[in-house]
Amino acid sequence: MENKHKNLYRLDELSDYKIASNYSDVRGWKIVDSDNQTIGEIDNLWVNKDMQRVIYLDVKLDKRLLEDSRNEVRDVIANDNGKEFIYKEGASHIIIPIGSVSINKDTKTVMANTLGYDTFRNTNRYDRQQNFDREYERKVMNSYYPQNNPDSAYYSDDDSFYNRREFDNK
Amino acid sequence: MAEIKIEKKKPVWPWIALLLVIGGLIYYIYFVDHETHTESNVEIENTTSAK
Repeated sequence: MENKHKNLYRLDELSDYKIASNYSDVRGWKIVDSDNQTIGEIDNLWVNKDMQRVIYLDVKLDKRLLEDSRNEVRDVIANDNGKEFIYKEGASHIIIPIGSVSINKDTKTVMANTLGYDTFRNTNRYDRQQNFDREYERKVMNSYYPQNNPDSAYYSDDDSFYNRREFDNK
Repeated sequence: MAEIKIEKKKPVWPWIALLLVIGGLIYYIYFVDHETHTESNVEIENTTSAK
């Protein structure tokens, strides 16, 4: 998967940009789910240069969650229910919209207050060696917010896709 | 919910250039010999050595 929507960059790719003053650089912090279980660690930040802010947190998933997912795959194969699997071996990262989390500066923890362990376990993953595209972003949003009705912006390929509450603090 | 903004880093080279200019001025003021050698000084030395 190549990131055809090249308005998203990993912050460490942008040598001339940094986290703005008075905002936390959460890279290296742990992230927990709605039950305070550790999901993984913030590996990088996906930013939009035009919007001058972070859009996604790039999370390296915890080994326990990856192992739980593998066990599920084995179970399904054993039961032969024909489920199509959505990730490859080696894909151990997911993205989380910035507006879906809150930040605790004291404990250096990021909290995905509305997302549970099973949601993260079942969300599409991607390989960090490759980038993702808008289709992957839509799958992830569907996984986190299946109840949301898609609007016109949902189908756009430009930055209007990010004009929703899951991406900001409004 | 969280928000993290980014900003462009401020360039460093203007400050480096300023430091070099200040360093150059300090060097010029304190270390460069500003004494001038005139012809009259040379004449005085010659007359005194003639004794």
